Amino acid sequence: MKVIVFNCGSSSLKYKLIDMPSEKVVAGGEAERVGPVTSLPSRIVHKKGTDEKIVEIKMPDHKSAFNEVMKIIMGDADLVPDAAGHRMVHGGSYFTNPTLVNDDVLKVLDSIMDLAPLHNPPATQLVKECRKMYPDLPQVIVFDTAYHCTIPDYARSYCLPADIINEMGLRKYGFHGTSHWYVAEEAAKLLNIKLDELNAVSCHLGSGGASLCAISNGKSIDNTMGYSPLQGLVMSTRCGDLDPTVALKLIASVSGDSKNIERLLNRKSGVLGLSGVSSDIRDIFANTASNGNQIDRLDLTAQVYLWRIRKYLGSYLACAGNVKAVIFTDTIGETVPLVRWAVCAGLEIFGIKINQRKNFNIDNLPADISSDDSPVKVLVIQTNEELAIARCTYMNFNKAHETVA
Amino acid sequence: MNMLVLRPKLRKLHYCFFNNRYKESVLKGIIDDYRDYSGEKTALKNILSHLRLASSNLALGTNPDVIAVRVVFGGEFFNQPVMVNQEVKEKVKSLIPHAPLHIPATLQLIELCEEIFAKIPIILVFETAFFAALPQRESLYALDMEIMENSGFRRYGFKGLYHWAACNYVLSNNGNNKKHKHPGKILSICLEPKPEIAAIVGKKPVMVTGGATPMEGIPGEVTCGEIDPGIIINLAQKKGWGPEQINILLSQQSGLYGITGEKVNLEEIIRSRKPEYKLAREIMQYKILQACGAGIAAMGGLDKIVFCGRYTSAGEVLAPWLLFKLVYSCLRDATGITVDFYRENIDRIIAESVYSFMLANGLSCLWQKEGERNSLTKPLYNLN
Repeated sequence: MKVIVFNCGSSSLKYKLIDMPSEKVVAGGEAERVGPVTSLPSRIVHKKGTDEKIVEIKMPDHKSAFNEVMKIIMGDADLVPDAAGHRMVHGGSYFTNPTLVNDDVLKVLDSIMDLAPLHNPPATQLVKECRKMYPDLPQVIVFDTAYHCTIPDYARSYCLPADIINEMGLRKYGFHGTSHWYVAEEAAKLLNIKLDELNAVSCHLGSGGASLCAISNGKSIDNTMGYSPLQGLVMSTRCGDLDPTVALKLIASVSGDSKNIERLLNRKSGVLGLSGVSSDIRDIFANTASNGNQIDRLDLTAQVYLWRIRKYLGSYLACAGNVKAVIFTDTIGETVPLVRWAVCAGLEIFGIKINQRKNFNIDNLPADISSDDSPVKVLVIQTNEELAIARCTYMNFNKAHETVA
Repeated sequence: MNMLVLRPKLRKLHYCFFNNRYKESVLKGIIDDYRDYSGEKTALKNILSHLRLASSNLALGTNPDVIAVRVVFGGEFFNQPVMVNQEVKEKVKSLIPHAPLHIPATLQLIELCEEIFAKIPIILVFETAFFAALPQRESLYALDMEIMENSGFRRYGFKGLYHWAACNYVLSNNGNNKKHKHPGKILSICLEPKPEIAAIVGKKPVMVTGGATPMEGIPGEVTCGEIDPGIIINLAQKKGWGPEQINILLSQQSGLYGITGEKVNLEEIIRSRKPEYKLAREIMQYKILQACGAGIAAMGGLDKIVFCGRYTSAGEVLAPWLLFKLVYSCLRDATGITVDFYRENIDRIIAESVYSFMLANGLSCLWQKEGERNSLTKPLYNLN
């Protein structure tokens, strides 16, 4: 069967058509610059095998982007999907597993939109449009928060009064769950153990967002992101951890205009705020040796970024216990050896011994970059959220059919 | 040497009088509502009358040779104790925006002391001094650099005196101990109403759980500890609360109180087996384990864990659990890692800190010659 997977960004729509269970990618592409008109035209870049097709077309919202993508897909007899899988950032407390779409599910999706105001609304819009246009196409939603539903109470609770917690649903949800879950499964395969035998720390270091996940017996037991994606590591433009009083003082400094501070903490902080020049940590590493007067500030940015990861790695190594692997994934985790080295160097006490030669000379992923005698393996694994979603969709589709049968 | 140690808090003034250098405290107490709104200097008069009452028991009399005042915040100015003079007072005054309730009260107390204990040296000791030189990779938040520079936002630690003293204790105790390696990498776990963990290499901190204020880090008895900044934004937007209202929630109604609904102290939570305290206990244990893991990564190793703070004895309950978690299921080379308990109270630590400072700065003459001391302290009190 063919599964079409949609990954809805705030201004893009990525898709991949995957044949299951062979896991072969049949086609894929991206609708770029979805939303208000920009200086460059909106377009769809579609790839099938070695063929690439570019369609320039207005896509004012994700609904129209979805319909334009489906025109291309349905126009090719080889590509007609049997099921659709969707990535949804936030499932709140309601969705702890991949979920087959029905009317009740849609109602709940409407009620949790404000938990991820940038990401959930376009993805929900897309699910609804898909159901309207292709009512017979089974759809499964995979939630980024779902993998973290196993985080125990003591790790997910904030120490706030119970009435406020209950009223506002304040708890750690955690994010990037689909990626952490995917690389954990792949790590277990590499180590030749079952997923439920894996204790690990997964480092999802993206060029935008980033989080670490502590994994015990294959399950998430903690994630550096919290109630929102703002908590935890230093990210491209998000501040990560912050003293609550600092946030309060910032709000007070703009006479209570919390939207202003929300923007500041989400979009003008992190690597961008520290460096003042770029939100991409790769730019910072590239320029620390050559940028004259900026060098101190760039060097400091790099240090703060790396230090936060290292501290959380130590935390999660302690919490997960008996860790078999540290996993690096996503853009920065997969492609920047300096980050892996700086984070892991000198952690022999935890059983981590990174091999510099292997670290700097990766030909193919997945790769084991630890020394042969390292008790904890350091793995670099390419994340593939689309494939994880396709797997979930396939499993749910089969389950639903078994139930009917 | 006689030393009067004063610890001004928001409403209460803790005092403690030491003689025989700083070895014994012979008198201690708390004065409620010590602020001198009326100009009557009531609080200090009360302390003096207590001292006079107790004077028959004091072999060395009731004359302080030095007054030590604990200050909660010293910013980047003060990385060690300092003797009060006009310039110091100006610098302390400039720190008011960082501790707007504590610093004015402390300044007023210093001026009262100057009036009443004329010519007796006043030494300030700062809770943040130990962390003044924290490496920037640890002290900086990932905010716009200009905002941080203009507002002075950075991470400090707020139990610096405990950490400093516990670290000294561990290092001096190890002098004759050939069995264990030199404790160069120390985790100091300060069990106070607002607990704090520091990772110390040599005598220098490299990581601390406290933040720009004591609210960050490990939850306290009534403070929230680390929370997602997004929660604060949401409280402001969805509840329509202002910063002050949110601050009251986070600094007075949260922490162990928020979780249990009871005013309960940290030691009770750690020791109690009550089912209603289970979540609070597990949270505290977990946060401590997390911070220890972070500290070990920050130091790249571990030689010693030392518990300190007023609830040090609760560390006896925590230590076996913590060691089990770290040594048996996390660290691959745990050879020689040991645990200590530093049980001194904060007054003794302040006195010791001041004593060390005076020795190091050639101020021991203030108490070495009796005649000289008397000449310095006469007239002793000026209560008019």
